[in-house]
Amino acid sequence: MKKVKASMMNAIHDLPLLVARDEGFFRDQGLDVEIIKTPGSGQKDSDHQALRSNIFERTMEALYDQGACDQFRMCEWGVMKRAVESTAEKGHRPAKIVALGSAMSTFALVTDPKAGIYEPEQLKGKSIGVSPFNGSHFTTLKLLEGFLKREQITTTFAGTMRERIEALKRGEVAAISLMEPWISVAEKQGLRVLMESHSTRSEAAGDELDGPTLHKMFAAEAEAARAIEKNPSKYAHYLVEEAGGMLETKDLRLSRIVNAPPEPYTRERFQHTYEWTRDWGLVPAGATYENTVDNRAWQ
Amino acid sequence: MSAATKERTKPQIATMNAVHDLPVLVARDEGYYKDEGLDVEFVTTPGMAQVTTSHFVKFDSVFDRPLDSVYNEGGIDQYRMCEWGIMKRAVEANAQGLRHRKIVALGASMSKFAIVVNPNSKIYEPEMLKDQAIAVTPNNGSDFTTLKMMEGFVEPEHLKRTNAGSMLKRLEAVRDGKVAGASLMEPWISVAQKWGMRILIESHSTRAEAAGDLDAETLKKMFRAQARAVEKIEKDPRPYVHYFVRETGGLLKPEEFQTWRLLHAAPQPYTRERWDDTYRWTVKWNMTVPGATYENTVDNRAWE
Repeated sequence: MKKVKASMMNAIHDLPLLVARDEGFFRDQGLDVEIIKTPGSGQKDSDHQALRSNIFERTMEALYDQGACDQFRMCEWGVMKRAVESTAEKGHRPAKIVALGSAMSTFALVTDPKAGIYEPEQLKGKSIGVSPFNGSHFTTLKLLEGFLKREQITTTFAGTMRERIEALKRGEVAAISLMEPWISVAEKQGLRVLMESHSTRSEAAGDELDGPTLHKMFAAEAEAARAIEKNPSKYAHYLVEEAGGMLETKDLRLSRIVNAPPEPYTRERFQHTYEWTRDWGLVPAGATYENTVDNRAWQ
Repeated sequence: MSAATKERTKPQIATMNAVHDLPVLVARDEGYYKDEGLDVEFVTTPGMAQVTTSHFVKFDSVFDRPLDSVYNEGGIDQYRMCEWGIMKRAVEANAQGLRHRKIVALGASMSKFAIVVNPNSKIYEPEMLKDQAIAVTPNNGSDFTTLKMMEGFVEPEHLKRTNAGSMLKRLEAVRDGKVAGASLMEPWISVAQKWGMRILIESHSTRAEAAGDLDAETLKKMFRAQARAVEKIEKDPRPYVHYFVRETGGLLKPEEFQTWRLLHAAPQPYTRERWDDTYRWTVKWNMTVPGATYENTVDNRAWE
């Protein structure tokens, strides 16, 4: 059995990985995949290690840099940033985008009904709590770009998902960006979901992980995506556990869970996503498809 | 103005789709207009949410649509639509010399719109709709809100909207693979969920209220009645689900309607800042003509 170390943070983004492990889909592919759990903003009692301002000092990124894991996934723009910057800046272990990832996680913008905000345009110039340079940040920009001018979108750091719900209720921020299970927690607490959208993950890996192994990993994740699609309630417990008693299974909105088989990361997709990320000043210029993307799992 | 218009004395309010007009329907049926001393006549026109609707709208003209043409003829005094649709009509009626109307309030219904796709498709998130046909009602809420929701994900030249008819027709078009996505409002988002469709993105959106020469006092009372209805709906929307279920003509049971998507607020003055933002955006998308001003388009007389 080929040994692979993959990291995970938040269940909603890593659900196919967890299901592939627990249903034996990795084993069926001849892989012994160890999942290294690192702190994530979706875990109820998580600290701020995953939210440090320097992304390479965050737990998961630091572990990858030190060679403690071979493969990880995050929001598409987050992986873009890490792949581009780890290649451009000296002293980092390079990571490449090796697939468009499987979890199409929903992010939602949530307000407190007491604030009198009913639709996205009313967030003009108001603070929105996100995890900087993570999915909640990038997706907030994407969601609001049609409703507000760029200079009118104000994002701020407000801690983990649980902490930002608390900040919202204290009136410290006007809105927060959440993923599951925290959107469901927010709904249970009577908070208002203004808008929500599915969003993409990417898969990243170093050069050490060979193409055939990646191919097998993605085949197992694809199998897991199909299993989740068929019966999402069977896997709801991974998400409910993250909420640490703040949510019951019946309160989790299963229709928000969408996963797809990993796919090659196309040149067209790279150009669009890289340009968008660079245009926002969230990643440096100068990267190319050739030095950032590697679809070796399909070659 | 037609002879019929000259003879009548009651203010006439239009209703079209339940999700946008729910506070009006509730205010009517709970007697809130009467409590304000108003004797109002309600004019129901076909809307894209009604299963019985068969008309097909054109992209290039809004003024020959059922509600718009009745208003032009003087058969309606006051109506509401999506904020951008009202903006377009208020601006262009002036420019084209049609019966004038002004924006008289930010409306009460913060209706949800959603973009749905076929679950058998490989479209999982908004960026995958690049260059793919999305069915909307041109120049109505589903069209404007599609642009707003998609603008961060897909560049304007890659955003393809098309006309596929009523909400039911566009849902069928998604099911049959004739279009990649459809923009829907309730109760059709609930129908889409019942059919197992995949919802990619959804957002609340705003209405605006429009009126001709209706006096300020009458408008104030109308909006007060709507505000009272909003409070009632917010407390418990379930008694009003029947308005939605009826629109689907048997395709949805009351318990299948997703009441959590309903959101309303009391009508409010339409601010200069809001006008500036919304008009600029609508002109940017070439959805209305330039040259309008706050002064000739907006009238907050209900609050003066």
